[in-house]
Amino acid sequence: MRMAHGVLTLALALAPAVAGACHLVPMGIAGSVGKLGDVSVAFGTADDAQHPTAWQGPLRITTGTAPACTVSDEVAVIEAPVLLGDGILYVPTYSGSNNRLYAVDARNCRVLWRSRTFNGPTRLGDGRLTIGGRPVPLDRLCRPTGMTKDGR
Amino acid sequence: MSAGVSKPAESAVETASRQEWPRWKSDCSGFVHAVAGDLGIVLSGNANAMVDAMGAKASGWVALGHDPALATGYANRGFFVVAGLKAAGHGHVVVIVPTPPGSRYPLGYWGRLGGVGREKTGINWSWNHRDLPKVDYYAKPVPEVH
Repeated sequence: MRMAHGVLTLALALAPAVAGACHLVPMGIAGSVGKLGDVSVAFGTADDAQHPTAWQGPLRITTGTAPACTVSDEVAVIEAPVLLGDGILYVPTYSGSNNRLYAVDARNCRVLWRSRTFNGPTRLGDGRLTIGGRPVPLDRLCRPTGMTKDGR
Repeated sequence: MSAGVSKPAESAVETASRQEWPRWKSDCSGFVHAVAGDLGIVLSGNANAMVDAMGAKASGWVALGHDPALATGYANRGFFVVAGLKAAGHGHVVVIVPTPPGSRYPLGYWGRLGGVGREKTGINWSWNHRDLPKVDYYAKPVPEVH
């Protein structure tokens, strides 16, 4: 069963290279830790040990055998779904009444991009990423299209 | 609970919060407006307008600054305490309820625009750690009829 899950994960991770398009995969999170392929993420304190729906951060990411890095504490409070595609982690967050989606480089924890504030859920459906009902267009490397040079 | 030991009476603020939350769990200012109304206190407008109103001179609100311990103290004495932070777009407001000593964060009830708020939860689940120190707290006595 575990091997089958591993094969499926590997297939999903390789899909972009095969299809030539960004393929985001939701990261399963158990307690306060998520893992997908060789990327492991610690999310900080969870709101509920058994059925967490939000995490305090800061995110701590380990990719392969590289040393772990820590994401800026602006990326909080974190909610599901956290998505991974081509080494970029998409992290939905909220503070007060406003939500933001962040794109984080999983290799070095750098914040590559952040959305404008929005209200409503982050969703991945039919290969499309939406925030508050609006699409987030991504290029084939899973970067938001139109992302400026400094990533904002 | 053993016989003869009674549970402490719930504060009027918490009773109103518990009753209003299901209806207003997706609207922070609507929730605060409803709880205030139940307590006989007028507080209206969106979250940004509420923060402005509470902070205005001669508003009748006690400005507690950014001090969560002070907010907890007032809430534990039965005051109606509101935490608020203005923001571009949508600000946010939370009702603070009596909080056990030693709690790291004040407990609150709130609605959340585009989502679902929380009941009697530490307000570190309402704002992140960047915003939390900027939150303003205000207190007002609950009219005696309550």
